This record gives sequence, C-alpha cells and structure tokens, in this order.
Amino acid sequence: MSIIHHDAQVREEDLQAYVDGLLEINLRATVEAYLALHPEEAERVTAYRAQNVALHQAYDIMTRRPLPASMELMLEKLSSPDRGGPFRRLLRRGAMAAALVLAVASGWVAHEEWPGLVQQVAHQEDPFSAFTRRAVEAHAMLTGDQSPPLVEKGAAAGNALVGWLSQRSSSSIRSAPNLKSFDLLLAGGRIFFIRDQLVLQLIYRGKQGQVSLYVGASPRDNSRTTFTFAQQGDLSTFYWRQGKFEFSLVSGMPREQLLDVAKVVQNQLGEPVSDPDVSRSDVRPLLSGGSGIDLRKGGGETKVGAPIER
Amino acid sequence: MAEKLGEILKSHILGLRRYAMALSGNSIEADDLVQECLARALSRAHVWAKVRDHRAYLFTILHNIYVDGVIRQRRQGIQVPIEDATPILRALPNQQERLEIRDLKRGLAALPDTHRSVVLLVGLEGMSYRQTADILGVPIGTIMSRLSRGREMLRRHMNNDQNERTERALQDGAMTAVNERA
Repeated sequence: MSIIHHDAQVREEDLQAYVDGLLEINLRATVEAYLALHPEEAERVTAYRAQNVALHQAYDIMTRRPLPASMELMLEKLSSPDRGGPFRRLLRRGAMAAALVLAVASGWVAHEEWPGLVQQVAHQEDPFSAFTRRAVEAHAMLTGDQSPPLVEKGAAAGNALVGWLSQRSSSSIRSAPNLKSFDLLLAGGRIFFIRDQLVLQLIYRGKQGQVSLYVGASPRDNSRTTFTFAQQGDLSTFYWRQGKFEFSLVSGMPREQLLDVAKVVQNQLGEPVSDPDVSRSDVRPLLSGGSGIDLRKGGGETKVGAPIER
Repeated sequence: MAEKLGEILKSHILGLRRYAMALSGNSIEADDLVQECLARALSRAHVWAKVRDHRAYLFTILHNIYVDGVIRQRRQGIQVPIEDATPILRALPNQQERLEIRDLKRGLAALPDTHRSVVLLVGLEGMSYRQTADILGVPIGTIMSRLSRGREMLRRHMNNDQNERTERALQDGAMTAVNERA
C-alpha cells in the first residue's frame, strides 16, 4: 500500500496534522491550496477526518455506561477519607475488587446493587468532556421551549464580549468568527463564570437553526488538542484547543456540516496573539462597540457584519 | 495522597475505558484492562509525585498491559458480550450510520496493533503526536508513519466494505426484479 506522493512543500505529516487540527497556522494556507489542486488528496483528508468523527460515534458510549462495581468500589475506597492507610491496604482492596470482578462477570452480582456508587462516578469526567458538557448545557438553555432573551444582543455586542474576554485573559481573539457563508449570523453572546473559568458563549442563528461557540480561557496549558467530536442527544459538538483558549462548537446540524463550520471558525481565529500590547490596541475598538472589525486573515469575507438585532 | 490519587484516577477512567474498548474490541477485556491498569497505578503510587502528565502515564500503563497480552490469556476464548458480537441485529434508527460504524470496527480490528493504537490515541483520545510517542515508547517519526499508514488502511477497508454492500444491494435488487417479472 503506498501513499500518493505530494509536492515537495506539503509533506504527508502536514496533511495528517491538518486532519487533526494540529497544523501550524502558517502552513495551513499552503496545505489548503495544495488540497484545492489535488481533489484525491482532499478526499483522503476528508475521509480521515470522518474516521475521527466515527471513532467517537462508535466508542463514546463507553464513557456513558456505568462502571463495573469493582471499579466503583476501588475508587470509592480511594476517595473515602476515613482510613488513609498505607498502600498495602489499597492493594488488599484491589484484590477484593478483583474478586468482585469475577463475581460480576459471572452474573452473581448486578450493577443495580450499587446505585449510589454508579451515580457518584458517573459525574467524573476528563477535562474536555466536562467543558463540552457545559457547552451543551448552555446551548440547550437557548433552545428550551421559552429561550431566554439574549442579554447582549447583536454582532457588535458579541464582538465587545470577545474583546473583553481577550483583555481579561491577556491573550487575544481578534473578533467573533464570521459565519455568513453558512447563512449564520451572530445574534449575540454572554459571559459565564464556571468554577474558576471565564467562559464566553457566542450565539449564531440562521435558517438551519442555531450554533453556539463556547470559548473558555484555558488556564491549563498551551498544548493543542485535536478536534474532538461528541454526540450528545440531538446535538453535535466539536472541541478543540488553540493557544490559550478552548472551544466547543455546538449545534443540532449534521456533524459533517458542523465540521465545516468548525474548520472555518478555526481558520478565522488564526493564531492567538499573546503579546499584550498588540491585544490591547486591538481590543479597544471592539469594546467601543464598533462593527466591521477586520479579522487578521483573508479578504472580503472577513468583516463582521452590521448588528442584526438591536 | 491516596485521596489525590483517587481523584486523578477518577478523572481519567472514562477515557481509559473508551481507549481499552476500541483497542481490544471487547468490552469485557476492556474493563479487565482498565482494572489491571488501576491496580498497577496504585502499586506504583510512590512515583506519582514525579509524573507530570497523569493522563499519558495511565495510558502508557494500560497500553503495556495490552501488549503483554496477560488479560487475553487469562480469558482465552471466553465470553463475548452479545452487543459486541451482534451489532447488526439490534434495531437502530439510523441504519446507514450503524453500518458505517460496523465497518469502522471491522477495519480497526484488521489493523496491526501497532497502527491501531496510534490511530486511536490521536483520533479518539486527542493525544498530541508527542504524547502518543511517549505512551508507545517509539520515536515521533514512527508515530507519523504509522498514523498515515493506519488511516489509509482503515480508509481502504471501509471503502471495500461499503462497495461490497452496494454491490450486494444491487444484486438483490436485480434478483427481486427478475423474480417479479417471472
């Protein structure tokens, strides 16, 4: 099996990194130009992205199934503060748990006998599932039978919030992404504080429904995570991390379509600028509520339109 | 310390379980792998203070257990949960999507272990290439070539499955048409 050969300036590993959303920003345009000229390669890249999505569809169910009683018990014992004894004791508990595994596997014991434990552990998540879940909850609030009125209406207000978030986190996003090419208009946004994280939700609306972009200043680290897809009920989500921010895009639209939106958002956001001087001078016009802020990248399509609501 | 370790394990257990399932293709083996991984993590509690990337560390332990094959030997040829063996029998709303997932699972199973783990750590668990290299203990260049080859093998496998299905559907259609005419 051989992989098709490429032009010298686009390496196979660049294509892989492009698939995973890990490609350096300055190479992205080169790769996209290359893909535009090589439809077979573009098809390959699309198929690989679809693989990542399908992997989540196939296996995310494992994160929702209740844990086996043995694991519940093990974690329960570890977290109970009473006898923080030596590791020997922990190991003994491990052995006890292992015996329970056999019991459970042979059907002697049913999961239902530990409803409390199942509940408890079901709430523990890895960090990006937690972020995504909160994004979905925030999105669901918008689509409830009587969706609450937006506090900060319109594109200008949405951009002002982006500027505010940038300032607060000493790093910048230039302005809210423009999704007009998908017939989605920025309807507004709001700011949350969740635990100790500052979070911005931008809401886009169009004929096909609504999309929300949930942006959190990520205090953890700068490492980038690949596009991570998850399906939660009727909603599709994409999670990724870029510079000092983490993002979750949530919508009821089909996943392929949402992936296209995510790509455009990621492109428009570009590389976040961490130089505080630059970010401050950029932020000022946003805070004064000006519309039509230039995004850093690209030409005609990169202006944020006039407010659509007042 | 024990409490802190408990918190760390809790926050990663779901990801470990998902990876174990995708890697082994069997939910019983997957839970055994995770169980063993937790036990080993506890037995090495003294090194935890030095570990910087807890998630990658746990995945490394789990992966090594998988490669050792101890779990599989212990269970040789016993139960396969019914939902793993017969995904197709369950009536589900989106048939087309189900088929796609079945193709994916078959394609994954056909990959060499070395390639499957890379495709999964990167594509499913969102690990960076560097983390993946650390977990599997191979150079990053090897990771990149396995990723590329693994994804391509998976794509071809899935395309073949899909083509076969289309062909069969066409044949069935043709047969029905012939029968109706007769």
